[in-house]
Amino acid sequence: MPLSADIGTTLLEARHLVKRYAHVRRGKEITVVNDVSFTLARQRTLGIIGESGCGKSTLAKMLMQIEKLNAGELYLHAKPYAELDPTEFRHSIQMIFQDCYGSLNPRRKAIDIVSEPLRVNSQLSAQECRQRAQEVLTQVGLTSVYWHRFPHMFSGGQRQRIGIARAIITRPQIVICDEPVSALDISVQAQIINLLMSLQKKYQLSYILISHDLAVVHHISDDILVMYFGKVAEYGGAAQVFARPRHPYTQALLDSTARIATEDKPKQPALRGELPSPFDPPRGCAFHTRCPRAQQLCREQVPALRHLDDTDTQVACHFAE
Amino acid sequence: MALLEVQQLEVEFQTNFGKVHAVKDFTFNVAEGDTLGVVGESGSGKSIASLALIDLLPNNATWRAQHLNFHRTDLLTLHRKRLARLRGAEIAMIFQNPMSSLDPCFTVSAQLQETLKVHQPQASRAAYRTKAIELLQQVGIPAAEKRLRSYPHELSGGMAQRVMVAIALACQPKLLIADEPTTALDVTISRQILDLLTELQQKKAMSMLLITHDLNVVFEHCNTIIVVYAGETVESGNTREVLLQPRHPYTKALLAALPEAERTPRGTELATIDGNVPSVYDNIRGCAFHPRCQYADDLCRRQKPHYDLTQERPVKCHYPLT
Repeated sequence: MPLSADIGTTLLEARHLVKRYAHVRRGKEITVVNDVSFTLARQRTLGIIGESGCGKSTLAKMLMQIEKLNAGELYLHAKPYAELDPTEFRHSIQMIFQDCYGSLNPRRKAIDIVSEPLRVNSQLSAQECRQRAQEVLTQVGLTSVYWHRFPHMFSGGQRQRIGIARAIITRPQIVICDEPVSALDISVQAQIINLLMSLQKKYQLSYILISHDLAVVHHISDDILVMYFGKVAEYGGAAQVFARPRHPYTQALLDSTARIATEDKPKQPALRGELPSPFDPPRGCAFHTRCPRAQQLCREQVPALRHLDDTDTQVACHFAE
Repeated sequence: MALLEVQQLEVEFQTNFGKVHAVKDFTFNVAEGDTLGVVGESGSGKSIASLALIDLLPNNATWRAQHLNFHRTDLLTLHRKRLARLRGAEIAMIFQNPMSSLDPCFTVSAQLQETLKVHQPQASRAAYRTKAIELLQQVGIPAAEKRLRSYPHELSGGMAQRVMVAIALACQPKLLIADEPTTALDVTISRQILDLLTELQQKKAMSMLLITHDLNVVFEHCNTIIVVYAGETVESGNTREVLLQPRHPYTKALLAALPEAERTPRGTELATIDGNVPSVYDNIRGCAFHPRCQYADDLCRRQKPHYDLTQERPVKCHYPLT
């Protein structure tokens, strides 16, 4: 197992990913993910935020090879996905799902659910698989009394622990977490976040964290990718993006989030309107229909993702500074 | 003057596994024109209690209370038919998921007018229609006249929730109960709906009961707050005071578990509450929170603390924090 020496080396790279779906009845194609690029380094966390329908879950599925790409390239350890051995790939990337009720087979016991990825993807004997499953279950805080229970006998937090155990049993380097805590109560949410952070340290895991809860993303992410309508709106270090959001959409997202604050800050007015229809994408910048700063240029020309002078942050806005 | 007074509300379910005591002791007042936030984790009984208030509980449930007054009417002795008339007209409700609360087989127009027809049966068809358009405009739906003909599946989540708000406001209720009105929505849309509710509540001098698990939302949108745990109210008071200086260990622990940029720097371990929310089947002696409370002692295990609503900052704890 490579150790902390190579923290920061690039593990996963996505270049200009595009995903389109054909809508047969309307005879139209819609672009769900449009030209998304990013890199993920060892033991780092990339937080992906955006409203529902912005393409973040589709992006996760593309990374997992559940969905095929229409264009763009994906590299793991600088090797294109196509050249990877499928078993090796499954060992390297695993996923934790949002719905901890729907993503566990109700007819199988916890230990069988957790050991399945190993049984499918390794040469280990059934005995060894079970042993490894017992180890990871213990690690996520489920002691032997829980091993032979069925999913319906667990609480939401415990189910999410089973989901996490199933994801880490193959000793992956990358875990994609799709809304890992959004179905959980506050006190349980904190337990799961702590668990994710401690596992990251222990196994040098890299996370891709998809969430609409900005406080959660802020707490565990190193980098942030803000998506709007299938495109990257802003991409940069978490501290930068949260302290000084450059894209008007990122600013609106942060303003919309209610928070307990000791001092009164003047509230920005709420963002108008909703996400445009993918069947009828707006011309120019996709955000111009809701943007408080939109001008004629925004209605005509799609803003390119550009580096701002003084930082690493990339922003797709004509007027960001 | 309190619009709604609830004292020791209890709800019990008769199930195959025996009796389930879902709501054990809810005690609170809603002042006229006030917004009361009810926060608690899932299973704390907050939704069930609100259903009990308007008698919408399923058949296997029984409820009782020491005292239940709404606008000088005693709801405990009120005839079922009178209560049904009150419900929808004086007390209206918005539910969590707008998509499953609207009937997919009927247009927005039909569903809006249904409430009007039930509670104001003498008006004309044209009057219902005008009123329906007016209601949609009030909740900020563009092209209201066109939207009347839409079916729920043609609406986005935010629009559907606006329609739910319009239906709830149809008869100008005195009290609006909103049960997790924005949990199913995105942050920007959630903010729009909450702003809309606050605006309408102030304009119409309505009282609002906002049930949510999100402490941040309560902080920004409610004047008063009650915190519930395992079917009991454990703390109440002015929202700012309660959330900035909690007196109950549970409230304090909940706040500590929230990731919050100023208090918990990135990557630091979050405070957690040991154990789990007790199951509705558990019957805990003494204070319901004692198995998870760091301050619990013998007294807490033995005796249930008293909750006195006449105090300025009522708290159900033997050793309230200062």
